[in-house]
Parts: sequence; C-alpha cells; structure tokens
Amino acid sequence: MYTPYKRFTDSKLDYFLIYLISIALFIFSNVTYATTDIVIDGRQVIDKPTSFSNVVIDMTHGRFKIVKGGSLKIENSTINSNLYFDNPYTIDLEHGSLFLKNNKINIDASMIKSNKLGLAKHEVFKVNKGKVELIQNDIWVNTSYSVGLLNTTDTETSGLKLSNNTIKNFHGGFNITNANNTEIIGNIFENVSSININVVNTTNATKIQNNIFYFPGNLVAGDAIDVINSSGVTISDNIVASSANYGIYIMGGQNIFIDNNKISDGYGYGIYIDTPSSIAKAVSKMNYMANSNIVISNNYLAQNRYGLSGGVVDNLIVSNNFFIQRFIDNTTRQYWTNNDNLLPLATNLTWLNNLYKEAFTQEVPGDNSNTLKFVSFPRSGGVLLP
Amino acid sequence: MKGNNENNKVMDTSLFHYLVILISLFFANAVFAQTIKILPNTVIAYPRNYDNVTLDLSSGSFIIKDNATLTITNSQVLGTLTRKIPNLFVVENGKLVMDKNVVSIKSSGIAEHPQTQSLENVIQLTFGNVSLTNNSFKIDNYYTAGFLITTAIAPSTGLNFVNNKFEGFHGVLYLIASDHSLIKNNTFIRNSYGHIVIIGNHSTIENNTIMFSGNYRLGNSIDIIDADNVNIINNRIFTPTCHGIYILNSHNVLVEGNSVFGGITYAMNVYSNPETLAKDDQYLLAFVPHKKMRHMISSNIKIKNNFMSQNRFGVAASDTDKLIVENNTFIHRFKDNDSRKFWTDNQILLQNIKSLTWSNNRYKEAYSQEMSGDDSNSMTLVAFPKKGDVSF
Repeated sequence: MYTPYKRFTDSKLDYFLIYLISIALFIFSNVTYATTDIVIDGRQVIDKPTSFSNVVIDMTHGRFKIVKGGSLKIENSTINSNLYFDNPYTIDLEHGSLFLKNNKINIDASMIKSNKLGLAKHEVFKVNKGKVELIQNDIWVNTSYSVGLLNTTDTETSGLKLSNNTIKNFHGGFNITNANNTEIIGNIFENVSSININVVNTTNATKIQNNIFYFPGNLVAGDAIDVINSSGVTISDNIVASSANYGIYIMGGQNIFIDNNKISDGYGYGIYIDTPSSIAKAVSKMNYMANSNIVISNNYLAQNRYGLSGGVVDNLIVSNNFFIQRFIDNTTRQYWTNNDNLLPLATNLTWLNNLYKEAFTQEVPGDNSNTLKFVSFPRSGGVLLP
Repeated sequence: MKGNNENNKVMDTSLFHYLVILISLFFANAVFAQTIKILPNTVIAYPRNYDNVTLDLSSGSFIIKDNATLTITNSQVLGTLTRKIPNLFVVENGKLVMDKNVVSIKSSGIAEHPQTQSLENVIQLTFGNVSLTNNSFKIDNYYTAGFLITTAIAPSTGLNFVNNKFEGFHGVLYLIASDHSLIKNNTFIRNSYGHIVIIGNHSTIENNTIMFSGNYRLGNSIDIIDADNVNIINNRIFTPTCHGIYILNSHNVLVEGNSVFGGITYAMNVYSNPETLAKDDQYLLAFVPHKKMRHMISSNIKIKNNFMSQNRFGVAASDTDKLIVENNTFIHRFKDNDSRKFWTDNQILLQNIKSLTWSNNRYKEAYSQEMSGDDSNSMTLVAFPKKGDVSF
C-alpha cells in the first residue's frame, strides 16, 4: 500500500541510518588511525622523503638513519624508543633533513647504566650534517643520568631550529658542535643533567633565547648554558633555576651578548667566563679563541652562591644588572662583591649602573634591615652596607 | 656644443631627482617627528587616530566620550600627571587603543606616598574598553602615581593588555568590576602597590614577568579578589616585597606553572576573610573592607606545577573549600630542622580547609650562599608530605 507519509518517514530513517553509520565510520577510522602502530625494527634507512602523522611509532627495537636524498617528517605522533647497546640512538641524521613537530617522544633507557659524572654514551638524535627542526615536542627519558638528547658531530652544519620543546630528565640536552645559525628558543628543560645547552666551535649567529631551565645538572653536575670556543652568540631572556653548577659558562668566547637572563638559586656562579686552560686545550685539541667582546646587560642574578666572575677577558661590558645575595657579614659581602677579586684579569672593563640588593631573609625572625633597597655595585672595592 | 648641452641636461635631471628625494625625506621625517600638543580635557567624541607622532600631554589630557575610539600607534607619548591633571586618558564612554608606543610619564608635584593608594592614574576607565598592546610605559618618580584603574560602579569587560612593559608605577592594573580581561606577556619592573588586581570574573593572567613587585615597600604581584573563573598560568615573579599570588574570596581559580623566586613573605596565599588582611596586607585595606563580597568562602582553588624558590614561606591558606595543591616544587633554606619542620607544617600553613588534595609536592633545601656553607641537604628533592613537617 502506497502511503506517501510512510515513504517519507522511511526515507528519513534511511538518511538517519546512513548518517549514524557515517559518524561511526568516521570515529572508527580516526581511532584506528590514531592507534596504528608503525613498528621500526633494526635500522630503517630513509633515503627519500618520508612522513608520518598522527601515528604511534614503535622504535623499541629499531632506529632511523637518514641518508643523502632522505628526509623524515613526523608530526602529532607518539614515538616510543628504547636505547641500549645495540640500539644506541633513535634517529641518526647522516645527511638530509629531520622535522619533528608536536610529538610525544618517550625514551626507555632502563638498560643503560647511569653515569652521573661522565658524558652520555648514547643519544636520541645524532646529527652529522643536514637540517634539523624540533618544534613543540615533549621529550622524556625514564632513567636519569643515562642518555643525551641531541649531539652534532664535527662536520659543519647550519640552520638547526630547536624551539618550544619540553625536555625532561636527559643527561645532556642540545650539544651543538660546529653548527652555525642555530636557534634554541622557548624550550623548557627539566631536571636535565650534565650540560643543558652546549655550544662548541660555532662562529655565527647562534641564538639561545627564552628558554627555561629547572634544576640544570639535576642536582649532581651540569650547567644550563655553556659556550665554548665560539663567537656570535646571543643568550637572552632565559631563566635558570637551581643549577647544580654554573648558570652561564663561557670559555673562549668572542662577540657574546648575554642580556636579560634571570639566574637564581645556583650552586656556583651565575655567570662565569673562564680562561681556556692548557688542560682543556690538550683534551679538546682545540685552538681556543681568547675571551673578548662580551656584553653582560640587564640580567638578574639572585641568590646564587656567587654572581659574576671570570679569568682573562678583554672588552667586557657589564651594565644594568641586578645582583642579589645574602652574606653573613660585611667582610664576606665586600670580598665576594669585589671585582678586584672576581674579575682580576679583565682588561678594558666597562662597569656601569649595576645594582646590588641583600636578599630577604628566610628565617623567622630574620633581619631585613638591609634588604629593602638597591645600592650601587661598584666597579671595585666591593659592596658596603651599613 | 650639442654634446655639452645634453650632458648638462642629464646633470640637471639628476640634480632634480636628488632634490626631490631630499625634499621627500625632509617631509617624511617631519611627519614622523610631528609633535602634537594636547590641551587639558581634550574631548574625543568621534574616532581619532594618531600614528607616528609625538603626543605632548605635558599639560593636557584626553576625555573619551560618546562611544568614540581613540587609537594611538607607533608614537611617542610624553605626559605629566599633577594634582590638577590626575589622569591623562579618561575613558568616560568609549575605547582607548594603544599599540607600539613609547609612553614616558612624569609626575610633578605629587609627593611619594608608598603606604596609600594613588589618586592620580594615567588611565581612568569608567564605561568602555581599553586595549594596550606592545607598548612601553614608564614613570619617572616611584611611589607617586598609578597606571590604570577601573571603577566599581561601572562594570567593564574584555580589557586587553598584551606585550607591554610597565615600569615604576604606584599601582598598575586595577581591574575592578571587570570581566574577561586578558593580561598576557607583559613585563612589570619595579612597580609598587597592586600590580595585577582583579575583582571580576573569567580572566586570564598568563606568561607575565613581574620583577621586584612592591619595589621594597608594599604591593603583591597578583591579587585575585571576589573573582570567579580566573586562570593564572606560567607567570614569572622575581623578588616580590609582599606576596606573590594572593587569592581572596574567590571561586574556580587555577594557579598553574608559575614561578616565584625570592620574596619577603609567602609565594601564594588563599584566604576568605578580609579581616585577616590587617596583619600583612595593609595596602589592600584601602578598599577591600569597604567592598561587599559576593563570594564568601574561597573554593575550588587549584595550585599545580608551580615552582617556589627562596621565598620566606611557600603556600598558606585558610577558610577555603576544595583546595588542590599538587606537583609543586618548594625550595627554602632553614637554619635548622626545627625551623624547617615548623615552616613546612601544613597544620599551621593550611587552616580550616575543607577537602584538601595535597599530592606529589616536592621540597629541596636551597644551596648555601656561604663560602664554606653546608650543601649536604641541598642535592636532593624530597617529598613534601600532606602533613608537612619536612625534615632531613
């Protein structure tokens, strides 16, 4: 029996069912897509453009090696990698390009013995030559003091972009050797032991900006930022909290601009400019540059064990910095704020408008009589409070 | 002869072009450097734009009326606050938009008054809206004049403060009865009195850097009072003279990912009774006791993933319902175990809290600042238990 009304309702029902099925398929397809495991077993050579997106990559027994003609792009994915003797890295960029954006990268290093005071023997990213961009990744290792994050080799490379990543628990962060035009911007380092950012033998336009370091050295040993035998480096707007050694360490640096960094609660000096020693020269086999043309301006160095010190350095400009410390008595304060002791070998030193404040007490009741003002931090002779 | 003439012609043409370029440059510079003197109480009653100019407000001020918008971009603004000219921008009804300006303020004939609130402010908002982006604001004399205040009798909404630098003001952003404010990526240096004071709902305070708040006199970094649904995330506070983040009679406040370094007292407080202010926040007494609170008990306050280092104390709260404190790092240094136990004792620090969640908080003894100081307890993070009493 023909009933237009029934036909109409059947038609609606059909559409409704098709609609439901479509939604179910869409959801199902997405779930499947997001949980697809790509298993990398052994060494997977990338010799042509390859990309992954929205996948889970199982690298518990495998690694990528990118060679000439290859490029690897991974976005919005999860990478699970195990590092051990036979699987010593996650990605080896021999030549080509690596682009990782918005990934969660979990490293299991439980089979690697912790080596608190030595250098890591394994790293996640081994970079020989090529282009690297790590952007907005969350990278974590489960075993402290075990593996490093990224090492470049002695081959000269250029244009690394490492920005807005969160990096946790590694034994060494970005170890950049012979790489020019590197940008390390907006990263958060948490509990990274050894050196968090190490720039060695670079000669051009390295930018280290807007990074935050919590517990660099991971309560054992390590600085937030080291610049070794390099020139043309800008270190600005970084925050360093509770370093196990130095905040910023320079050895053999030329044309270095250290501006508007905030370094607090460190075990050693906030900023230290070291003279390349004969031992360092012998060990590294590098012909070190002399420290020269270094600007330290607008920084906040608070409650580190000491503030700024250094060895042989020429053309050092120190201006508009805040120094905050707390000493047990006037004699100690005067000694540890006296540039005749702290910068005895600095030539052509420009020291302008630097301020000192005694840190607030953390005791109850404690004496804050000298803490409620800034006083001038003189070029020599040390700070005297009433 | 003909050849010589042609050569002269070519030279004349070159000279002409050269002169044109010179004249163009002169006028271009003249426009860029144009100084416009503003008279007292200059009324803006229709849309007005100033771009690439110097605005001389040394004896003048603007009043925005009739729903008009005053837009100032890429300019230099020179203003002077006095007893007779207590505001430079009065938004009676309209909108003030400022982007990429350098604003230098003088305070003239106003004595320092670090213990009391400013009667003079650069911006006074009654009805309307303010959007400030990418500007630098600086005043020459500390403890004399504030920056911006809204009024309690006229609710405002959607105020926007992004990427600005504020230096030296006595009171910075007083957003009273103001909802949906965005305060993001700003830098505050050596301001006193209240810095970011919000009495209103649905606001976000994100990624600001606040240095030396209070400027060695009075003033918290962030005050949230009688507010609902406020996010305070990823801010960096350095050496506050008063409290870091202070929450009073508020609901649904998220305090996440902030760092508070140094400081004369607590890094974070949550309270409900204005009378508790009498002890340690004199400057809020100026207006809080006169305000009728909508929210009587602070509730649903989450303090997560914050880093508090070498403040005199860490977190304290009282008379609060549903307080969550998790994944925070506390760094202090005490002279002995008894002091440490006392000042990490949540029986003392957290009083009359209904429904307290305290989990995965960590404590580290700060490194010594003495030459031969003891760091034996400084090289490890230990659990900060719910009951408190951290000891080594």
